[in-house]
Amino acid sequence: MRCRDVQSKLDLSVRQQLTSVESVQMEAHLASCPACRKALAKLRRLEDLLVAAPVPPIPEGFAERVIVQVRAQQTAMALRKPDSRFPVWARLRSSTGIAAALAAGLLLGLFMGRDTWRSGAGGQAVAASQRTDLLAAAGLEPLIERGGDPLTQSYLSLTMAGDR
Amino acid sequence: MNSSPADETLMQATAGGDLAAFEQLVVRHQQSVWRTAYRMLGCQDEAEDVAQQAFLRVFEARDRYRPQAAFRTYLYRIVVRLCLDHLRKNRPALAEHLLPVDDRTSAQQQAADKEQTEAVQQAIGCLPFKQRTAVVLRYYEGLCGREIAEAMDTSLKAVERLLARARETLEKRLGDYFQD
Repeated sequence: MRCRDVQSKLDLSVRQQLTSVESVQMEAHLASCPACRKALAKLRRLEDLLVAAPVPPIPEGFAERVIVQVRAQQTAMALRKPDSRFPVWARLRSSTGIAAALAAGLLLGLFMGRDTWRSGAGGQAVAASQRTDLLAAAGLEPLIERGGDPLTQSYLSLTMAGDR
Repeated sequence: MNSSPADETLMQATAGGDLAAFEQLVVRHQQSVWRTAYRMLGCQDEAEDVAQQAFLRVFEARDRYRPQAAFRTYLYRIVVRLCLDHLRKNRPALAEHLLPVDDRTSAQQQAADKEQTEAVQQAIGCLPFKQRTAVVLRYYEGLCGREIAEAMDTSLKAVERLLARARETLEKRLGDYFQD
């Protein structure tokens, strides 16, 4: 064995994983090679240093906490997953949900629409009465029916402003 | 005679919905997962978090698991990846450690041991991620080169190179402890 071969197998030697033939060859080489002996000693020292550094004990209840998390995950997944035994029922259940949501949206829309319609109708009535008053004051009752015409309205406003 | 079921059998049982089988896997491997995570991260809280995530990943992947490689190396691969993800998100923090105190040794010896342990942990912590992984799996988990290569998803040659470079760096950093 040459130094290069020996040094590539030193780690296996430290771990006692050499074959018996390799082991004998290595021993023979080490006996006559101070450089390889030094390399082996350094490798052993490094191993001792590394292994001597302790690891704190595993936190108490670690395994239990993992199992609790797994159970929680399983429960969450079971709740999300549709019932595979009754796919039609599951689909129906989900379409019922969609239909209910749509119906609720429609109802809400109707309520909001009614309020808007009411306030809109009220607003129109007030505007119409104001226009009627304006036309009556100007002595233009015949125009009352067409009082909604914005051109007429603008004309009257300007005229009355001029009169004032 | 060892009658306890193999990891791969337990994993298949887990995939079949047997949570007790998974519990056995957790109990069997919790120490090595914890050790690896702690050696890689150097912080107990982070190590526990990563170790828990590792088992959750294994559970999530129970249906996809194929026993091509040994379960042990499969598990190490998950832990190593999670450690890498964790370190990418949060910078390595190897400063504070809660070292166990041995009451039997003198205060002076304890101080010397503590100092040496810290020096070793700092030296490991300064290694690039791949070198550190190779060192942890080789020296603390006792994996052989082929198993390390599987766990790191690389070749045996690459592992040998990583270990050689890591040893060189560690010897330089821990030079004081090589004197005697």
